[in-house]
Order: sequence, then C-alpha cells, then structure tokens
Amino acid sequence: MRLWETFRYELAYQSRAASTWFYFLLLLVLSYLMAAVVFIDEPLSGSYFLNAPFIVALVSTLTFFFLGVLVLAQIAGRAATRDLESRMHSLLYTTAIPNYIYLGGRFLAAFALGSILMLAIPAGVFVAALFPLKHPELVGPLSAATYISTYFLLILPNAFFALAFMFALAVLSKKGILTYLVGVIFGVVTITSWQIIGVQEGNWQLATLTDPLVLSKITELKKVWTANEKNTLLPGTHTDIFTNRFLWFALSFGVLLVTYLNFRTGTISERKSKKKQNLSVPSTPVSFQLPQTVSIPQVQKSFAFPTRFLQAMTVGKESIKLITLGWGWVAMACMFAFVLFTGPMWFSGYYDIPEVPVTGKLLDTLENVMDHGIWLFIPLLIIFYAGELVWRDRDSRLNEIMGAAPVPVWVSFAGKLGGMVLTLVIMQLLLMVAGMLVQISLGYYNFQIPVYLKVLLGIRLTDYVLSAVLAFAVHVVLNQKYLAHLVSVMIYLFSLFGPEFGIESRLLLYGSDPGWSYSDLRGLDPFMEPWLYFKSYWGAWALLLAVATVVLWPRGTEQRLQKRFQQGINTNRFPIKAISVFSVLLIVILGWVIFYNTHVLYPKTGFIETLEWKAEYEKKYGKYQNSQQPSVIKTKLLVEIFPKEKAVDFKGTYLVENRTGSEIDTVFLTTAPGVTNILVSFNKPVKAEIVDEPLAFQMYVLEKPLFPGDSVQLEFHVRYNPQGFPNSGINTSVAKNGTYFDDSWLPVIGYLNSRQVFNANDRKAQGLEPKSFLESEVETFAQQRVAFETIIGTDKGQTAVVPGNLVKSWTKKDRTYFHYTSEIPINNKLAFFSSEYRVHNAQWKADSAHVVAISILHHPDHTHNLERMVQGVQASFNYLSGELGKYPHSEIRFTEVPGYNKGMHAYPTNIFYREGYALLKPEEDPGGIDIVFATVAHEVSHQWWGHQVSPAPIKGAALITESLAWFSAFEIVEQALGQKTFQTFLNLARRDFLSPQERDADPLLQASQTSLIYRKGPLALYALREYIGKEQVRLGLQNFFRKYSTLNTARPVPSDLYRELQMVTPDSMRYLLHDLLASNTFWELKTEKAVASPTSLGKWNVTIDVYARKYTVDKKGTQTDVAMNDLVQIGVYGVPGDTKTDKNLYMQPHRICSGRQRLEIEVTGKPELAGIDPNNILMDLKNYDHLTKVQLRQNRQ
Amino acid sequence: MKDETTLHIKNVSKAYPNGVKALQNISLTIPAGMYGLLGPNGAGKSSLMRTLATLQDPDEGSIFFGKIDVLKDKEELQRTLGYLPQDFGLHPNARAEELLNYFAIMKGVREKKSRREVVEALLKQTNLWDLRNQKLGGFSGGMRQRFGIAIVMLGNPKLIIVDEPTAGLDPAERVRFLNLLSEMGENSVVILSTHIVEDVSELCTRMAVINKGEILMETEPLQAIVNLKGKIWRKVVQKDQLSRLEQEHIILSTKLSGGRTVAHIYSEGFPGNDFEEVLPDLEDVYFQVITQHSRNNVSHSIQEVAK
Repeated sequence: MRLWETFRYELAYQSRAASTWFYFLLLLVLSYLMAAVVFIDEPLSGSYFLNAPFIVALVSTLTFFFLGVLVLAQIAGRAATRDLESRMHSLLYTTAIPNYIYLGGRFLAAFALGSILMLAIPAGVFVAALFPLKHPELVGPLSAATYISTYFLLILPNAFFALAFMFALAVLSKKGILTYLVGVIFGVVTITSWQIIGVQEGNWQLATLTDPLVLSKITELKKVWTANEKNTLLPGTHTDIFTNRFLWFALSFGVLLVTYLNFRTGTISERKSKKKQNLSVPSTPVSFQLPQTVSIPQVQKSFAFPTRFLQAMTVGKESIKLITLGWGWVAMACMFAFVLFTGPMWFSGYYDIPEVPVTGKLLDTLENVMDHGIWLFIPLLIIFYAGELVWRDRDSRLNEIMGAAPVPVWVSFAGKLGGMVLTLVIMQLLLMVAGMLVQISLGYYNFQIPVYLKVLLGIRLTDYVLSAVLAFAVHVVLNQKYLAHLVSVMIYLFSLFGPEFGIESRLLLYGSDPGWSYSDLRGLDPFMEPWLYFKSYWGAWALLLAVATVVLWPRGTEQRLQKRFQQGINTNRFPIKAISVFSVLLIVILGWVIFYNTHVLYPKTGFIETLEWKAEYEKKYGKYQNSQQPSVIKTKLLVEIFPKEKAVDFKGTYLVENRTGSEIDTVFLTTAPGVTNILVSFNKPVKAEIVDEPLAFQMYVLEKPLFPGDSVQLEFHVRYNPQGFPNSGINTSVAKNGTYFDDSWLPVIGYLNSRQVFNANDRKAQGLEPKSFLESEVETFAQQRVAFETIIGTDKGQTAVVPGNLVKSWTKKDRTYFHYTSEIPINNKLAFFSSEYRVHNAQWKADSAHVVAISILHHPDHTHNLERMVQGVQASFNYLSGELGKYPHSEIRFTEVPGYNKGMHAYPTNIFYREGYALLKPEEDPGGIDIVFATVAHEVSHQWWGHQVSPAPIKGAALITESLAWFSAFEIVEQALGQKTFQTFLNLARRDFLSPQERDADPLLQASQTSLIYRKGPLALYALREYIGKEQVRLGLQNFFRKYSTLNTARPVPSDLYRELQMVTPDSMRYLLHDLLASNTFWELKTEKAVASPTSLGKWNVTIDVYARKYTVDKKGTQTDVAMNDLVQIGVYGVPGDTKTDKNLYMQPHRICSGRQRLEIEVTGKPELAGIDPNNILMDLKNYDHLTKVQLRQNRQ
Repeated sequence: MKDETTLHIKNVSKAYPNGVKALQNISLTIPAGMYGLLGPNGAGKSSLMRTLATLQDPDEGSIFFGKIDVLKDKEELQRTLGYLPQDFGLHPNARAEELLNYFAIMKGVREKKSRREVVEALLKQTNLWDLRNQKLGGFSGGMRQRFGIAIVMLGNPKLIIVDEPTAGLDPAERVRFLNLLSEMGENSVVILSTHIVEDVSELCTRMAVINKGEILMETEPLQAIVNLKGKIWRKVVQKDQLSRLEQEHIILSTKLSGGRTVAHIYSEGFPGNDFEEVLPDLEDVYFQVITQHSRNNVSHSIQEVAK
C-alpha cells in the first residue's frame, strides 16, 4: 500500500462516521454562539466590531480550546488505535506496510480530517458577522484576511500540535482514550500559561511561548491593543505568535519522530508472549485422566434482599477496583499532589503575601472550578468511568454470561453507581488529607474537620453523584461510548456555563444551584436552604434518570433503543412505574415550589433589579432630576435586626431643611425596592400626588411651601423581609452571623441619579437618550451632613454597629440594643453591622484633651493582625492630625465582615474589613510589603479625604478621595515604617499600573478607572513631590483640605485640587503637573550607552547617551508626540558593597529634549551603573531600560 | 416432575434489523438430557441459544421451561440457567477463584461457607484448582473454556445452554469437557450447539439440525442413522470427474483421503457398479438433511421461474 492509499482509506473511513459530521455541526453552532452571544460584550464594551480580527481570533481560539481539542482527541484516537480495538492489528501489522506509510498515512489523514472539521470554527464566527442577532450595528467591513489568517495561523497550527501529541501518545501507549488525556493536559498547560504565568506572575513573554494554543498572547493583546488596533491588526501575524508556532512545530515534529522511531508493529504480540512465559501457566497435563468424580455440592440459592445487597456490594467492590486500579489512582494521586504542591500558593495569592490557611479559605479554592481548572477534571473522570462501568462487561466480553445471570439490572446498576460514589468519597477524603497537610506545612493546626466534611462530602459529593447518575444515563441511552462521553461533557459544560448561553434559570441547568460560599463568620448560612431545594429537585431528576438507566440498560445482545425499552419495561421486576411516577411527582412539586419561590415570592417581596425597571424609573421621573429639594439634616433611627429571620425593621425620622434660596412646595421621595414601606408621614399637611410602589417613587405636595431655612419632619417605617429565594445571587446582607448592609433600604429625598442606566449601549437598548454621566449639570454641590442618632437592636450575643459614638447598650429579654450618636454631623453614608464579635480595644492620644478610642470588632479566631491594625491607626492619626487637622470623633471602629477577598471600606467612624485582610500575615512576606498597615492607613485617611472633604459626585471625584487617601497612606508608611517599606509600596503601585492594560485612558482629573485612581494617582503625586519638594505638595494639600472641609463651602471638584497644587508649583514645573494630572501623558526614556574614563585628578568622566520621548494617548488610542524639554533625573551609581565610595555618586535633574542626546558628568568614585530617571518616577511603560552598566575605558597613558 | 425440566419452544421467529431472518417459526420440545443443535455457521444456532438464554427477545412465539414463561419472567429462568456463550472473555486481571466466587454471588449463593465449597469443588472438577491464583488473562483457550463450564455449573442449573463449547479445544480437552457436560445432563436440560458432528453423536440423546433459521430435522441420532442405512454410497473419483458426478447423483460430501477424493452420495436405490455401500454415520445424516433441503429450495425456485 502506498502512502496515498493509506491516507485515502483512513480519510474515507473516518468521514463515513456520522459522528464526524455531528462534530462539524457542533463546532459551527458553538463558534457562532460564542461570537454572536457569549462574547458579544467584548466588542460592545470595547467599542470595536464583532468581526474585528482580534475578536475573531479570540473567539476562534477559545472555541478551539473548549471543543476543538475534544473533537481532535476522538479523531486522533481512532486513527491511532482503531486497528487494535477492532482486533485487526494482527492482520495489518504482519503485512509489509512500512511504518512510515502506515503511521504517516494515518496521521496525515487525521490531520486532513481535523483541518476540515476545524474549518467550522472560523466559519461559525463568520456566520456571526452575517447574522449578528441583537447587534447588527457592530458589524464592520468584512475582510477575508481576518478569517483566513485566523484559520491558517492560529487554528490549523493549534490542531496540528494537539493532533501530533495525541497521535503520539495513543500510538505508543496503544490506548485511544489517552488522546483525551492529552486534550486535558493541553487545557491545563494553556490555563497555566494564561492564568498563572501571565495573569498572576505577569510574565507574558514566557506565557506566550508555553501556551500551545496562544490564548495567553491573545488575551494579553486584549489588554494591550487599543480599539483601533483590534479592528485593524491581525493577531496571527504578531511576531510573538510566529515564535510560538515555530517552537511548537519543532516540538510536535520531535514527538512525531520519536513515535515513528519507537513504533514496532510486533510490539504487542512480543510483549504478550513474554508475559505468558513469566506466568508459566501450565497447560493441560499430557497424560490425560478422567476426573476423579468430585461431587458438586448442592447449594442453597437465595434471591431475597440480603443476597441483592451482597450482589450490589460485590459489583460495587469490583467497580472500585476497576476505577482505582486503572488510571483512576493516577488521577487521584495527581489531584492529591496538585493540592499538596499548589495549596501553599493559594495562601499567597495577594501580592505574594502569606495568609493564615484557614479551612474555609482552603475549601473556597479546593474544588472551585472557576479558580482551578483542574477541578473540571473530576466530572470528566466521572463521565469517563461511568462509561467504563457501563461497558465493563461488554469490553471484557462477559456481557452474555452476566446477562444470563440472575442479577436484576437495578442491582448491578446500584453496585456500579455505589462503587463510583464510594470511590468519590475516598477521593474527597484524600483531598481533605491533602488540605490538612497543606495546613500543617504552613504551621496551622485548627483543621475544622466538620467544615471539610460539610463541603467535601456534603455539597461537592452531592454534585458529583448527580453528575454520575447523568453520565450513566447518557451512556446507557446513547449506547455509544465516545458519543456518550462527548454528550455528557457538553451537558456538564452547559450546566456550568448555561447563563453565558442565555439560560438563566437553574431549573433548566442540570444539577445547578443558586451558588454558595463559606466564610468563617457566616458559615454556609443563607445558602443552604435554597441549595437543599434545588438539590432535592435535581435529585428527583436523578431518580428518574436512574429508572431510565435501569429500563434501558443494554442487558443481553439487544442494541436498539426501542427494543431495549420494551424489554426493560416487560421484564423488570423493579417497580418502574411507581418510582417514575414518584420522581415525576417530586420533580413537579419541587420544581413548582422553587419556581414559586424564585419567580413569584422573591420578586414580589425581595427584589430583582432589571434594566427595564431602571429605565422605566428614568423615563417616568427623570424630569424631576434637577428640581430643588430640601436636604436631610438630622436622621434618627430605630433599627431592629433579626438575624435568624433575615429581616430588618427600620423606624426613623428625617429632619429635612430647605437649604436652597427659593421656596419648595414638592418633596420627592425615592424609596427602596424590595422592602415594605409601612409608613411615610410628614409633620406638616401634605398631599400624596404620586405613590408608585413598583418604581419606588413618591411625590408629596406641601400645602404650605417650605421657605428657605424652614424644615419639615418625615417619619417612616420600612421593613426588609424578603420571602422565598432567588434563582441566583442570594443576598447575604442579613445572615445568622456576619450581617452587613448599607443604607440602600432607607428612603431618599429626591430623584436618585444612581438608579439610572449608565452603560451607553444599555441605554440605547432601553430607548433612553444618550447621556454623559457625572459631568455636572448643576453648578455647585452643597455639603450634605446629617446629625445622626440611632438605636439598633439585634439578637443577644451579637454586637450591632452604626456610625457615631456608642452612648450606651442594654439587654432586654433576648435582644441587645446599642445607642449611637454622632458628635458632629457626618456624611450621609450609613452602614449597619451585627455579628458575634470579640472586641479588641486600644486608643490614640494626642494630648489629654484629645483621646480617640480604637476598637476592632473581629471573629474570635482572627486575631493575627489586631496589633498591626492598631499601630496603623495610631500612625495614621499622628500623620493626619498633624498634617491636615483634628479627627472630629472620639471613636474609630474596625468591623470584620464575611468574605475572603481583600476589601476594606471606610464609613464615617466605621471601617469594615473583609476576613481576607484579617488572615494576611505581612510579617512573613519576603517582599516586605505591610499591606495591612498601609490599607488601614488608607482607610483612616478617608476619615479626612472623603468624610471631611467630600467631593462633588462628578467624574474624577475619586481623585480627591482614593488618590489622596493612598498618597497620605504612602506618606504614613514612609513616616512610620521607613524608606525601605515605602519603596516596596511605590513598586507595588508601579507594577499594578504598568501591567498590560489599555492606555487610551482619561487624564487623572477625569479618571474613574481603578488602576488610575488607586495607583497612578498616588504615583503622580509622588512624582510631583520628587520634583517640587515634599513640603510644597503637603502645603498644597493642606490648603485644599482647609478650604473644603468646612461645612459652608460647596463640595470640591478635581479642578479645585489642581488649582491648589498649581499654587504651590513653581512656574517652571507646571508642565509636569499638567502632564501628570491634566493629560494622559507617557514618557519613553532609555539609556543607550554609558562610558566612563578616569580623569587626571582621580575622578571619573561619565558620558551617557540617552533617548527620550514624550507622548499623549487619547481616548481612541492615538498617540501624539509632544515636544519634550523636561527636567529628568540623571543618576550614576558606584560599585555596590564598596563602602569607600558612596553608592549614589550622582543624582541631579537635567533638561532632556526629545530624541537622542549625550550627557557628560564628572563623578568622584568608580561608576558601575548610570542612566536616566533611575528611580522610575515618570510614567514610562518600559522602565527596565533606564539604567545601564557603565563601560570603563582606561586612559592610554 | 418430569415436565418441570422440559423446554417448550413454540413458533419462535426472529428477524434482525438488517433483514436477516435468524429464526423462522421454530418449535421444539426438549426434555432433560443432552440435546444437540447441529448446523453450519450462520444457521441461527447462536440466535436460538441467545433467545433461550434471555439475552434477546423473539419477534414472535413463546418459550416455556416447565412452568416458567421464559419471555415474561426472565429472572425466574435465569435463577436456574447456566449459559456459556460462543464468544466470551474474562476479566484479565482477576484470578480464577476470585472471579468464580464473584459469579457464585451473582448466582445467588449467599452463604460464604457453601460458596467456598462449591467454588473449590468446581475448580477441582474442571481441573483448575492448581491455577486458582493465576490471572485469567494468562489462560489458554482450553483453560478458559473449562473455567466457562465451571461458571455454567455454578448453582446447579436445570437448563444449561452451551454454544459451540468445543471450538478451539485440543482432543483431550474436548473429551474431558464433553464428559463434564454429560454428567450434568443426567437431570437437567443441556442444549449443546455445535457444527462438529462428533460432539452430538457421542453424547446426545436427541438432536436437531438447523439451517438458515429453520429446523430441518428433529430426531434421535441413532434412529436417524438407522433410517439412512442402505442409502449411502461411496466412490473414489478424480477431481475432474466431480462435476459430472454431481449432475448424476446427490453428493453429500467429498473428502480427501490419502490424496484421492472420496465422495459420499445419497441414493435410495443401487447407483451403479463403481459405488460401494457404506454404513451411514451421523455426518451422513447431517449432510443428507442439509443437501436435501437446499435442493428442495432450488427446485422450488426453479418451479417458480417455470411458472
């Protein structure tokens, strides 16, 4: 046979299989849906075309990643081992086909077929451009190059690499199924490159190389490329991608070559015969004798339940053996090892700072599919072994004997399912042990085994059992192993990503639930009741599936579904009908209960905010947006929290004063959705014109208008007590322990701007006028401070907290009450907490007259950072009260709230922090970043920046709150912890800001992006400080604070801050202030060469060649060069460790112009390094080329 | 009591999806004892066996074993059934004793002690006791087949169905195997399908010949041989004479013997001088039935064409 014939035969053979074309269709549909539905948000929010080369590449590679690899696995597996599986190998291998023709033909045919199937991917994406569903406006000009380059440069090489590795492993191991393992490994390598090397480590260069599917590079481009570049450039032609392709082609050819060299057609029979010899099985004795008559004992047979139980147990034992003695134990060992080796890293994910390895956090990551793709592996294993168990007897050709044995199908099914479940229990226990070993390795011994068991054997095992039942059912119904594998995987992925495909209802996604999370404070509390309902519902489905499995089980030799059904129905003694009816009844009842809870009860009593609802509010009442309204000046509340009932009752009064210059005759009230407004009344005669409960808006006309300075009192009674539960996104505000909510359930005077639809595309879809937000339509914003007094009650044993000083607390029956008042009017931002806290008390003392009580309310076990936090508060008070002014209250409180993420937020007098902060161990951080101290300083700074100076709510306002609070925190760290720690923070801020992201951003004065206001802001102020001096910047900030912290000024806007900073900046440096704050400017600085030669006076003459450029980037991503004539620091450093010479030999600003230039500097010591902007003060995206090694040149004398 | 161990097959038909009529209106009554089912490859033997062994349902007909309605109450039959399919495998990593114990449980032997006893007895009976700790993957064809018979004998079945059990066995093994079977036939129905005539002639008290899904003959082997007496003739011929001979006589079989071709023909009268009469054996019976039937079919179709 010639190569061509082998090729043609194989291609024809595989294309005859219906499944091949089923995959083509599947790929086509999936890629279409990915482009037109799932990833439509990318072009929509990034404002580029849905057929831009970038998104075509992204969607295509992702589709390849999700499904393409699986499809190829089947093709490669078939091509490599079909002869073995059909037992044709002994025929074929003995013919005189040269290996290269046999293997080559097979591989090329597999690749050709794969190439044809993979055509479906770009084709599907292309169809999305023709039928763009909801967004025809996003279709740009069609270009063939886009799809051709995606196919030939991205998809086809990906397919080649995957096929090469799959084919190689399958041929060498002679196991077709291992191609799926290669698929999984490709997935893991890709995810690791992308998520760990790229996102976490920031080493995108390496990630590009290690990622065989180039997803990493494309996701990096997503951040780096501007919208314009995404529309025009072809990702496939990027040089990095060429490098990647080259490397992987080399690897793939290598693997194929190894396969070719190691392929011996005889291998199998040789190996087998060797085995036989080792076993030395005796054959029939030559001298044949008739048997001594051994009487076969008559046995007692029984088919009662104990026998059935024994039979099920026996089948179960066999199943466990099959799984654990096959590849299962390797998989389990891999997962055990994965937890053991990567587990410690889960506790240093936040800036590499070690954390206390509490069980809750460990479990949060252990088996969380969204965190670690490896957990996708378990359902895949379940599916795989369900197939193996269903096919077990047929694969070992015992099926006819077993089929004739007096074992009912339900017994063997129960045994197989039971065996699998027991194996899963073993695996979960192994993972628990691995988790505990991780904790031990980190020096932590509080294992909390009940929590482990609840999560691993309660929640996760339930999910796995449901998956297992489904997988058995699919395998039995379809009765085609590979197809059933694929369908099961699809169903599993669908139930996982259903919402992405537009199926929201958890009643339609097999095995799903509304979600859950664990927290030390809160436990599993608000999640378990809905979880139980959903799992019982899916359990009922599983029961029905189990019945179907029993009925359709391919016992005997009948393959056809219909026949199997008849046979199953006719001959089963199992009560099929009764159980089917029972499970259908359960499905209907539980489904109805869940539907009633999620779709009737909860939307009525709780609330699900929709875009339509927001748009309706704006359409109907937006006209009142700018009408003059009185301001709340005094709030009195009586709050009753009922943690167990998950209810809150608010009774309160607002004293409302007309602080405008004109009389007011109408008061608008925006109430909260999802609460019951029991009472709204005024102490003056009013007429209710509008009471719109659905849109939560009310309008009252005063009989006598309110003159300027007049006030009216509003009394209200609101109750939050939602019934039922939502389909997803369970509200955790009120829980048995760990209650935290803000003031959003309280009524608000006036029309509520924040309720509007912000996203431009959403506005368009809802038929709203385009509108730019946060650009002030009002001239000035008045200060809004309220005198605040609250009595808050909660269950005995819990501590409830609101802003203000605690006046007193008392216990009445099983309720405890706390009475708080604010010493001065505070910002009208309220938060309410209730938990079983332990309180850590300390104080800060400026002088005997000014003492501030510091209290930290924390989870009893979370004591690690208490002292550090207190020190942070004290250091902050030292700096802030010295620099800016007195802290206006006598108490400051930190309250811990549930959640392992790292969040802190400042309300007046109260700062909450997530459990994640409590568990950090900054003292063990090798990088020396004291993030807890710094974040505490930042939040305390908000008591000045934010709560004393509160900016007008317009674009850029966060510059005044977040950027200034971080700049103050930096200076607090510098003052309290010293230069070294200070530098680590600057580096941290730089790392975050310089990591790949879009550069088409707003200037700081209008910024709202997190990386700008939290990172660039403080860095800009630091840069300014380095050029105009620390004192000048501090002076500017002091002036700004003093001017705007008083109650009778308008609230400041960013330009007010800019003006104050301008006042303290010398004229010569104002350009820098402008570049840092008022425009989106970047520098490109580079030291090309530095040469030093000794002078006759024993000094050194250093010549430095530098290159400089300055440019701005506008919102479209266009770069514009700006002529540069800036002062930039030039530095020369001596040999480190040489104590005689000062390491820092020279550090002076020089005027640097655009382009190349040479600087000459004389230094006293022997120079080692020299360069421009050595401390990376200016915003340069590539700041690693600022310094260079100095070349030393000896004089000739 | 007698009727409890009689198998009644009535009007059983079965067609496969590809149109092959595997069984056509088969009716048999099989009493206790060894019963041979003889037929060429693809005759429908295995289809009939699988149907009797509850592995597939016929399209039509009924099967009763004693009072058990085999098609309705499969499990009841399975409790007293021993079935050895033509093609079967064993878990290659399991050990002989282990797997036999497994099947003992599957066959309802719950009590541990009696299970151990019966497993031991069967392994000894099948001469596998010394190999009880060997992995089954290393077993030869004969050992596997003997292990199969051990499985069949588990639980004292009343209906035993063995499908082509002697294929691939060496002569000694075959003898031993058939002995085991005949012992079981003393108070059970044992149905043995085979295409090897000796298997039947040596053991079976009754037999049926099946071809293309139809029962061509149901008889006692000895009686059938007696019936053929005087009708079988032998002639040594050259190869090139065969086609002429075929036109003139009904050839049942041709065999090579010492380089020459020996033909058996069927003739009710004296066929000619160059023929010598031979004593018929079961093989002649078998070939006579098969040949007769196919000639009938041919003449049928010729008649149809002639019409």
